[in-house]
Amino acid sequence: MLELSDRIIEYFGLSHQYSLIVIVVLFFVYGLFALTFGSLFAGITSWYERRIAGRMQSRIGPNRVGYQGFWQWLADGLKCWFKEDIIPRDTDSLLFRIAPYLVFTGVLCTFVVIPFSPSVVGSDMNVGIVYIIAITALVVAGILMAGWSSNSKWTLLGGIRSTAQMISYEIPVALSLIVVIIPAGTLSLQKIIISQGGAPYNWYIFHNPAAFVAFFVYFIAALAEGNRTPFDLPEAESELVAGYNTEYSGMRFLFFLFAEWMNLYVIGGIATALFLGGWRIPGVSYEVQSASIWLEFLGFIIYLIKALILVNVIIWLRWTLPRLRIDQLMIMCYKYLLPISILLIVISIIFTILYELFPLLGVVVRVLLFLTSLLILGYFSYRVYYNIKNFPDKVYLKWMI
Amino acid sequence: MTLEERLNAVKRDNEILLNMGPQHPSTHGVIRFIVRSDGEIMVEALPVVGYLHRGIEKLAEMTPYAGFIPYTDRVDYLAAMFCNHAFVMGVERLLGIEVPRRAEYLRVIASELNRIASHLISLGSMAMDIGAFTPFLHGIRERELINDITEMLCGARLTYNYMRIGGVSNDINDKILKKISDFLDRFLPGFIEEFNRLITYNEILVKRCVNIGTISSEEAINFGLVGPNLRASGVKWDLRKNMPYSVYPEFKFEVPVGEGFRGSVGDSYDRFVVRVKEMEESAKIIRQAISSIPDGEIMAKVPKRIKPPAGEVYSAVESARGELGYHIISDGLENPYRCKIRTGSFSAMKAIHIKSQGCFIADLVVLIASMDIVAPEIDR
Amino acid sequence: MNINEVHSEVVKFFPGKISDVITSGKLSFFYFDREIIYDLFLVLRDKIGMEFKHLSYIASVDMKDHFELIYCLYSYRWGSVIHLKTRLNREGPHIRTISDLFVAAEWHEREAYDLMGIVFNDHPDLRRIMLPDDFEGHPLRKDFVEKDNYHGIPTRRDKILGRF
Repeated sequence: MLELSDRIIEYFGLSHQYSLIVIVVLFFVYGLFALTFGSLFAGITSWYERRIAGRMQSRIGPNRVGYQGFWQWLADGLKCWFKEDIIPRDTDSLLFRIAPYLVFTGVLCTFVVIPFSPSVVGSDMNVGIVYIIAITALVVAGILMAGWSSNSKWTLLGGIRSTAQMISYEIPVALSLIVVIIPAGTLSLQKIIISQGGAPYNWYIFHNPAAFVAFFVYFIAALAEGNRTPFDLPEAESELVAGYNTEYSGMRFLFFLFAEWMNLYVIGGIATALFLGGWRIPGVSYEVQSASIWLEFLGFIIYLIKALILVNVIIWLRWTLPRLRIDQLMIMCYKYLLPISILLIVISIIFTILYELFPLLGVVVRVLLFLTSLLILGYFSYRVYYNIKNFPDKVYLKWMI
Repeated sequence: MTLEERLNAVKRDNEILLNMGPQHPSTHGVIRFIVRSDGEIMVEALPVVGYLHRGIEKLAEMTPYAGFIPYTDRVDYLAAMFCNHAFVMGVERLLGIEVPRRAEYLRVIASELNRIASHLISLGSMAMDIGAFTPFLHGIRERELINDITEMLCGARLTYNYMRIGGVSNDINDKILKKISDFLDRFLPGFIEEFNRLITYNEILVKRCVNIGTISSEEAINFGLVGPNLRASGVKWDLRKNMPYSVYPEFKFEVPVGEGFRGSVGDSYDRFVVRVKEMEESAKIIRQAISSIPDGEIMAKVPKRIKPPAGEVYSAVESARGELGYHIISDGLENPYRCKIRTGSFSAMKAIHIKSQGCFIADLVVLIASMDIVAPEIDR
Repeated sequence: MNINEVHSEVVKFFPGKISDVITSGKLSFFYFDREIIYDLFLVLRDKIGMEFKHLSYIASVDMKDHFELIYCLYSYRWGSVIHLKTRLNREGPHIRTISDLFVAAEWHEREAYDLMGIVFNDHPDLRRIMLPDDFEGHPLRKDFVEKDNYHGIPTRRDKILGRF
């Protein structure tokens, strides 16, 4: 952000005493941009998720409001805006009102650190990852408030379960991110992306086998933190009638959902930044990319595409897998993910030291891992082709209808 | 004694009373459970029923025999053909009427189609309660085809009113036979394999269902369980094989029995898999039936006013939820003197009450779904 | 074993309390006196060769001058089904429960109590099951007349439009 402010001051020819004002204005503009981006993303993801869910369930999904139902999320949002604001009588009304905003803020504040392109980033803190893990604790506080203040045993159960789940799964999230920080040597997200290369075999996911497994550990743990299926017991419809957000209606309810969908982008964004090379373009170095505005835009698009592929996988998982029970959830966190991530940190340290001694080993391991993942992708495509061929119905590959 | 007295007699201080009320997304119909728990582990889940009591047994005493058949549909609207069949069979036995063979074949085809439809809903709801939304909708997609077939056959999609005293109401033609045969080609093995790959072999479902609500075979017999619940506990008893009725002896089919597929014998996963296998067997029966339907009448010669001689009869069929029996007492007049309906879900409620002690609230949902209870069968 | 064999076996245990086998319509059954119910069902359930371990249903019938209870037992081991009946007075009908022998009997007896008014002694939890707890009357009886209103809600079905 500071470089951007310097360039703007040079461009407009202002004197340097206005640099503070320019920075404040830039922060404000960036905050608006993040809010707009997050809300748009949440809305469009809701439409996308409903269409994908419809196709997976042999039905269409919303297709009335606008072309292919694209404005469905606007219609839902407007409807909820005009709804009657019901606050049940015996609730703790201050906590009841604050809870959705806390949850929303907790997720929105992570957008400060997520880089969109080489120079568009809210604040490239040098403790970026620690900041992310810390600020998502606001979400925990918000959910606990929501569950308690609704004055109902079911919501209390849902709130407590969700709190226990989220604070437990923050540990594997943090530990699996450390696996990538060790070769990078820095906690700031922008610098981690810079230290990766552009081509796929230069990404950190193929850096050593520990990072490969750490990607999946991070993915699972971040799903659990975001209360998504298969870990969505706190908001399970069949047991708790929507858990901690039972008593909410109208716009307050939408805030919880907004936060959940924005969190999808945060999961995808952090995973892309750390494991999948961020906004790097194959064959282009950082200086060249940050100098030309077209390459910056291309980087932004590439980052978006990679994060969206991960969001797609999350949506796909939600509509396929059943739910885990609360004690199975906790067992998975403390007995499986936690020891595995600690082991991965140790392996990553060993491999990093080995790469300093034998640089050739790094290249060999990278190429092997890249080829393995290409094989896995190939097998997956073959299974897709086999399923489409053997399905008794005609498969409509035109997904738009 | 009232409900409050019953609850206050056993309440302790460190328990909370949760109400899985009559309206709840996962109790199948309007059934209420009062759960006493200490937060997560339940001490007892007391069922309170009666929200769907319509007094069908009392209505039977005021309705002529032929006019009572639509009432029998509503005893279990998901498996309505079986309810029709049992009642009509009872009255025919009292009158001494012999049903023509073509009508018997049509009854069997319609009943087995209805069994497939009912099991699709039951398995789908169980998967939906556990969190997987997709298998339910895939089941509904197949069920739509069955509904189209029965719409062509008798005009209704849910409460069929297809059987009459002495036969069936509508005849079948080649178009409907072709449609049934197309449906079967698509259902077995294509849909069953896909369904199994999607949900039956899914590790998360297995972990959720295994060792929940394990009922041993002696317990199952003592609780009064019937149908797939009983067979999943290891007891090989099926009314179609052990006390044959209609033309079932002419068909070759197996009776699936639970054998602890991934856990112990008689747990919820066994009940799930037994129902999937029963769907396959039903498809085989329908295939055999449609390839050999005899010609003839669809309705026997029945007097205009049905007045069976004084006497009693008990007639039972193997419905999708177990044994559905009608004990009809006639006194020679136009209306039955007493008509007692024996359903499978009524006995399953007591089993749920006993087996719910000591498990999680999430397990209670799985237990209820695996016993495949519907509210109209309990309350009648 | 079918109903006749069961009858000849059981008559040896309880002489004088079991009637002959009656066939009414298509059903064969016999009557037993209501005092011997517990021992009779114990014999039926546990004796080798009979082993009627499955209680299917308990139906209550209102014959105009007395009540009757019909018990239906299945034996899965030997593949047979029998029906038993007993007679009860119309004033103050009561009979001992069998829910300690057959767990399934608990709910069936509650239904008989609720709809017909038959009291089962020593039942662990005898209360109404289908109707509300404060309902008055037993609907399945032949002389049951519905009350005019239930907590202020009128129950007559004729002349509904004239009320408004």
